Amino acid sequence: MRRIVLELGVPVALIVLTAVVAGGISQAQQLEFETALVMVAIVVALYVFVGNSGVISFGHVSFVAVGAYLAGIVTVDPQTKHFTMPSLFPVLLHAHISTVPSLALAAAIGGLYALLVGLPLMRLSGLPAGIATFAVLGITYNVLYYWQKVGPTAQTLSDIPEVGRWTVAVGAAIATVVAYAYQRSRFGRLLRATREDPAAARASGISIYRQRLLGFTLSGALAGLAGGLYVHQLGLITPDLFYLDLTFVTLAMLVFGGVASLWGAVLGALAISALNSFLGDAENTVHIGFNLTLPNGTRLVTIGAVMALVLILRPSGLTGGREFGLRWRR
Amino acid sequence: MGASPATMLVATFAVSFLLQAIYLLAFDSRGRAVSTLGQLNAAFTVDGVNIRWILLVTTVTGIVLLLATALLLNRTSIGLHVRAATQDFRTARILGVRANRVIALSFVVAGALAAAVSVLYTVSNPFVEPDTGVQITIFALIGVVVGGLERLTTATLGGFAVGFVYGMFGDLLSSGQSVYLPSVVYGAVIVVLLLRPAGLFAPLRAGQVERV
Repeated sequence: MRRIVLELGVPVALIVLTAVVAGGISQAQQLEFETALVMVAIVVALYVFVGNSGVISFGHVSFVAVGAYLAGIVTVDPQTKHFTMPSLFPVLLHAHISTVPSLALAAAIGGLYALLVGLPLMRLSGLPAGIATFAVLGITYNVLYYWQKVGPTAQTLSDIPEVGRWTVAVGAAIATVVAYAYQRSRFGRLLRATREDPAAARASGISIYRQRLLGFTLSGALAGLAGGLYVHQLGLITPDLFYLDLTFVTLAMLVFGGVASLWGAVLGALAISALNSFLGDAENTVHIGFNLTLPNGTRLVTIGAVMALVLILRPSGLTGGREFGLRWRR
Repeated sequence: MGASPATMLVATFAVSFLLQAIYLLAFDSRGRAVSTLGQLNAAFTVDGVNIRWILLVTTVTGIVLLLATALLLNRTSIGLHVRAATQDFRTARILGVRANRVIALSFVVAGALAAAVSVLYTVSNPFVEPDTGVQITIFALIGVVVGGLERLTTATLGGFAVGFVYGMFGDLLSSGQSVYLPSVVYGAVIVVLLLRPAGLFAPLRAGQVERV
C-alpha cells in the first residue's frame, strides 16, 4: 500500500503542484506550464508502450495528431466550419460537442487508430518496428496535410475552445493513473516479461503479439487523449506541430527520465519542459537574484547538449528505470 | 556505449538536434545558397544528351567508395571484427574482438562516408538549411532497414529500391494524387517490412528469434 502511495502519489502530486504553481504566475508562463502538463500526458502515453514492451515507436505522435484534430474539429462551431472547411466529411462538419466529451472521443479515436495500425505492425520488433511506426507517422502527417475531408490541411485549425490548467492537469493525472494501473496489472506484467526475455516469455505461454497489441492500443488511446488536451490548451494547431520535432522531443524526454519507469516519464517530461521554458525566458532576461540574459539560440543548444550528454553518460535515464522510492537502492 | 539500440538511436537524434541548434546559432534559420564547386553543375553533351558533370562525379565517387567499403569489410582484419560484432556481439567479445573500438571505428567510417555524400549532395542541390541532413538521414535509414541492414550489399540495394519506388510512383500518380506520394512510399515500406522484417534482400532464414 505504501509503495503504491509513493509510486503513484509522487508523480501525480508533481502534476498537481505544476498546476498549482501555474495559477500564481504571469499569463505567458502559465501557458508554458500547461504545455509541460500536455507533454507529461504524451510522454506517459509513449511510456505505456515503449517502456513496458521495450519496442521503440516513432509513430505515437500520429495518435496524438488524430486525437488533437478530432477533438478540435468537433468542438469548433459548425457555422465557422462551413466557412473555413466546407469539404469536411458531413459528420465532422455538423458535429458540435463540448470539450470534455471531445477528450473522450480523442482517446477513443487514438485507441482505435493504434489498434488498426498495431494489428499488422505488432509482429515486428527492433529497428524494423521503429521504421514501420515512423512510416505510419509519415502517412498520418501527409494525409493531414493534404486531405480536405478530414481537416483544414496545411491551414491552421483555429477557433477551438480552450480549457483551463486544471482540465489539462486532470487529464495528465488520469493518463498517469491509467498507466500505473496497467503496469501493475496482469497484462502489464506479461508485457514486461516479453521485454525482459522474449524467448522465456514465449516458452511460458505468453503471446508476445497479443500483449504488445494490447499495450499499443492502450498507449494509443492515452496519446489520443493527450492530443485532445493539447488542442484545447493551444486553441489552434497545424499539421507541422505533430511531426518530427514533437516525436523527437517526447522520445528524448522519455529516455532522459528513464524509459523503463512511469516516474521517469513524468520526471523527464517536466524536467526538460522546465529547462526549456527557463532558458526561453532567460533569452529575454530573467531575474534570479540578478538579471540573467542569455544570447538567442542558447536554449536549443543547451537542451540538445543536456539531452545528448545524459543519453550518452547515463543511458538508463535520470531515474535509472526505477519507480519513485524513499530508499536509495543500487 | 553498451546502451540499448533504442537509446543509441535516440542519442544520435539528440546529437543531430544539438548540431542543428549550433547551426541555427552560427547562421540562422534561413537557408544558404552554396557555390562551392559550382562549375561541376555545368553540362557536357553526349550524342545530343546534356549530362551535368556532378552526376558523373557522383556516380564514380559512389562506386569507388562502395568498393572501398566492401574491401575494408571483407578483406581486412578490422572488417572481419566489424562483421563478427554484427553477427553476434557477445560471442565476438568473448573471442577477443574489442567491441568499443569496432563501434567507434565503424562510426568514424560512416561519418567520413556521410561527409563525402554531403559534399556531392550540396553541389548538385546547392541550397542548405538547418534540417537538410535530417531528411537525407531518414531516407537513408529507411532504405537500409528495408534492404536489410546486416550486409553492405542488401543495404545498398535497399537504398536503390526506395529511390526506385519513389521515382516510379512519382510518375504513376496523376497530378492530383501526387501529393500523397510520401504516403504511398511509406505504405510500401510497411508492406515490405511486414513480409520481410529482416530486409527485402536478406536471406530468408535471417531475422528469426534464436536463443543459445
